[in-house]
Amino acid sequence: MNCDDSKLICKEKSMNAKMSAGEINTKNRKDAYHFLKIFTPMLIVLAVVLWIFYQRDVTSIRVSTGLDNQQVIQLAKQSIIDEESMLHGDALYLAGHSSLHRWLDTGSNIARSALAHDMLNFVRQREIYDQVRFIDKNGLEIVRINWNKGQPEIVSANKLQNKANRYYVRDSLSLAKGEIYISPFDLNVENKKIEQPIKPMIRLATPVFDHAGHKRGIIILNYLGQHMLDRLRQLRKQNRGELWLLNSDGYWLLGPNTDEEWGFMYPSRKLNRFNLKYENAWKAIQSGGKTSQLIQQNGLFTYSKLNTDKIAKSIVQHNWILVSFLSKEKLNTMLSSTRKNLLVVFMTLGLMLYIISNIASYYALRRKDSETRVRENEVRYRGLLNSAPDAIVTMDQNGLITLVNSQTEKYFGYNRKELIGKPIEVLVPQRFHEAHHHKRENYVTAPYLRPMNVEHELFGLRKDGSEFPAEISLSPLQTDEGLLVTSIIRDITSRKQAELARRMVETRYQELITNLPVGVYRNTPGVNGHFLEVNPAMVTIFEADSIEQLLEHSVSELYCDPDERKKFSDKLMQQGYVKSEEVHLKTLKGHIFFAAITAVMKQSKDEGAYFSGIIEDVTERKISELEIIELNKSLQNRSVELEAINQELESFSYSVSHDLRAPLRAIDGFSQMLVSNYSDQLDDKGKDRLNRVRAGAQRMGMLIDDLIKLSRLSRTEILRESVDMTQIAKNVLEELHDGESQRKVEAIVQPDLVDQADSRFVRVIMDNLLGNAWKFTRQNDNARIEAGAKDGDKGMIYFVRDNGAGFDMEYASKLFGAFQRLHDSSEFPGTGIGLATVQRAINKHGGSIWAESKVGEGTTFYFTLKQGVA
Amino acid sequence: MNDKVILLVEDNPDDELLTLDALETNNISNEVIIARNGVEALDYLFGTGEYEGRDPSDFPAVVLLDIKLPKIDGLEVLRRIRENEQTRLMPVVILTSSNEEEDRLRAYGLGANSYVRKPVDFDVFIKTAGQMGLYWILLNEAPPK
Repeated sequence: MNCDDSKLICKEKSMNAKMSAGEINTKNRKDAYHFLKIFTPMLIVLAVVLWIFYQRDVTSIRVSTGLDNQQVIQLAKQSIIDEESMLHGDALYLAGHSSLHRWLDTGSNIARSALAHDMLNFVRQREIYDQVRFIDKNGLEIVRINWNKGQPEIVSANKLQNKANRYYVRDSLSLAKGEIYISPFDLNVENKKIEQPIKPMIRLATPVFDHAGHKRGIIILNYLGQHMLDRLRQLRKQNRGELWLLNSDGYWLLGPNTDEEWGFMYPSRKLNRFNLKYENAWKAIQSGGKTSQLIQQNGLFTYSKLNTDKIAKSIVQHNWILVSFLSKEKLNTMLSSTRKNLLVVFMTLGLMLYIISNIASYYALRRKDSETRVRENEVRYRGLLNSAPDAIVTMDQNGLITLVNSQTEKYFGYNRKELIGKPIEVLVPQRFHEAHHHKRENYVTAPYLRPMNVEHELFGLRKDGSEFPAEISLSPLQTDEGLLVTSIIRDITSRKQAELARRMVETRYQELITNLPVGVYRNTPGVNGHFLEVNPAMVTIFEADSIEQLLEHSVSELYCDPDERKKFSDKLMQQGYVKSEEVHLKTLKGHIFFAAITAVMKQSKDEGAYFSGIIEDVTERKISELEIIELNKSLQNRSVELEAINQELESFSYSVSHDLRAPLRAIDGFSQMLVSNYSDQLDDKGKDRLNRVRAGAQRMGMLIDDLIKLSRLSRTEILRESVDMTQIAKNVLEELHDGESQRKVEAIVQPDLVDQADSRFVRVIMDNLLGNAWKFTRQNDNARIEAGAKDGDKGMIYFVRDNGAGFDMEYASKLFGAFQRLHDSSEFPGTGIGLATVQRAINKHGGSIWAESKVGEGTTFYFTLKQGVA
Repeated sequence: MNDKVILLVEDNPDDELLTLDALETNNISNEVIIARNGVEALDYLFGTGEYEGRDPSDFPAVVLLDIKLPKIDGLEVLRRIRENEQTRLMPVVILTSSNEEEDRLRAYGLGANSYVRKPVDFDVFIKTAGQMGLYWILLNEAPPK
């Protein structure tokens, strides 16, 4: 594993570590799925294979068991046959024995004794006979040998019996020479009781003929059946199943256990019969062949039917049946080990499969993962390709297009299908075709990675025939299918435009710098600093002949005082900038001037620190500033004077109000005294003149009051607040009415007029306007005074309307001048200051006032309380 | 009519005469002490200078005080009257030609009991003087001593 791989794995691990529980679950499920996908079929195959094995095993066990059983049956049968043929042989042998014939010939006791001894030997030798007897044709026992439980003895003559009436004696005596009587296989009965321990017994008998051919008696052999049964038992031991011997009635002679044997001998065992217990098997045996095998529900039966006549001429048909039985349970027991083995095999192989599956699924998953990754990479790559801002075109070594991305379609106006397989030249303007072709061929022979922007300008040709400037990079890729060249094509139209725009900006900027009337420069810091760059205005400012000339001079030379340059430079270095710093400079020709410098300190890699700034000749401005300072000073003086004048004016008006009234009061007062105290010394004319003096004095008092009001108004600053215009108008009208309650005047005031104004001034305005209206309607019986407002452009236009005397609009211009009156004072008394005061009050608000009137019909005054209204 | 004096502080002899005439016309016969400037007025009121020995606690029925006065002006006189423990409760009526807001404000601020403007019209002046005399001589109860 190389370094990159290990890194990759580390990365994967860390990625795994970062996986959330949900992801882990998904992954586990996926793993399990893959594992099961491999494991399950393998397990099934294994199971099937083992099942087949099992079945084959079962079959082979069955077959082998069957064969075993058959063999056992065969062996048993053979054994029985052998035994019987031996018995036959023995019977015939004894029947033809010389001792017997001697006795038959002589009938002497010696011969009989010899016979008895020979027979005794025989019994002793054979060990299978319980009794061997010779009975004469009269049924009299001549010789009888008893086995006597292993101690054979010759039964003494006095104990010999006559057995003439026994069925077997009778039956045997009727046999021909060589014929053998075989009794049924049963238990020996002594004194009508079954001898215990039981003694299975078969009796064989054969007739005895003398030389002359006369039948002289019978030889009877009592065969100890146990002997045969023991042999069968011996066989049974070797057999995996049961080995039974049945008689023709279905009773067990050799059975599953001794209790069930010999059922026909015991009344209590009558029902212990094979044919009752295994009815179906019995039936099948009865109807089947001589030897066969049956598979029954309860097991495997193998049987063979034995017929004694096969062996010898016999008068009893035994029809024994040898049955070998392998019970299902036994069979299963036999199979169970196979099953156990197979199970172990299954488990072992299953485990192996499990491991193999795990490994396989792990590798499969890994492969799948890597495939997925490859696929994802491909998708990503495609996405990248298509989301790339540039057109990407791949062509083969023949210049045929093999791949394009979406941007290519957009750039060139073709769709993908139109381009694939076409020569790359379809995207190149006609005039470059030849050169392009040539270059391409050269390129293919020696491909190299060509970055963008290394060659002169290139152009792309769109489907519609238009062209666009492009930058093209080429990268070769050797593949199995030959050289692939990927070219990335960038539409640089907008960049070209941007470049153009930038160049224009630069040009404009340069022009601006060149044409600026202020000096623009760059220089190096310090006392020995020199210019790096200056604009033409600098040449003018410093009265140089050329830019080059100016660049030759050190900056300090241009300062009146080189120390000032040092200070300036230090300050700029310290602060990084200066703003409108004023310095004393001199031109190359020695003219001194004031300059304002605004500059910043900059750092450049090539030149180190430098100053960049603008210089302005501010001499004129400086002079103007000085002038302004002078002007301000004089203005200040003036305003002090004005203040004094104002003060004077104030005290003047105070004096007027206070001191001018006193003499008037004196004039009026003393005139009155004259009139009242000295009336007898005055004629009417004198009294009239005195009254005129008084009237004049009083009028002057009013004039003074009004003038003071006017002047006071002029001196007062207005203070805007929310003013209830309606309420003020109503108050004024009420007061007017109170003063002349006998008059009937219809007064209408528009409600809810509220404005921002100085209430004191509004009061003065209303006093005068409504006072005028009141005054000028005095001669009208249906006097009507109306105060209200209407919306103007920027605020309310108030009006006060009356239906009084009115005036000639010709004199409207004189209306608001102080002391101007349009009516006779005898008719409508007044000072002529009221409207002037009103105008002053309105002007103070920035508003205006005007009037409309018609003689005899009335007057309307309009006014506003804001600038620009109306 | 009681025998209380009225202190008229007035520098203008015309006004003095007119005032006296107006009081007389209204049959107000109380003695009128004339002070022609602030100093005289204060001397009278505090029993100093020319009026050495006068009991300052003997109030005039009312002081009719002009604002514009030689030496010490009326408002200063008022201030000193109100400053002085003995005279601070004395009824003082400003009787002046001025109707400047500032004057009114200061007068009331210093504790003037009334502010009356002398009208130019002598008929009105007579009426004013009459009403004033009636009020301060007859109706008004002087502060307890």
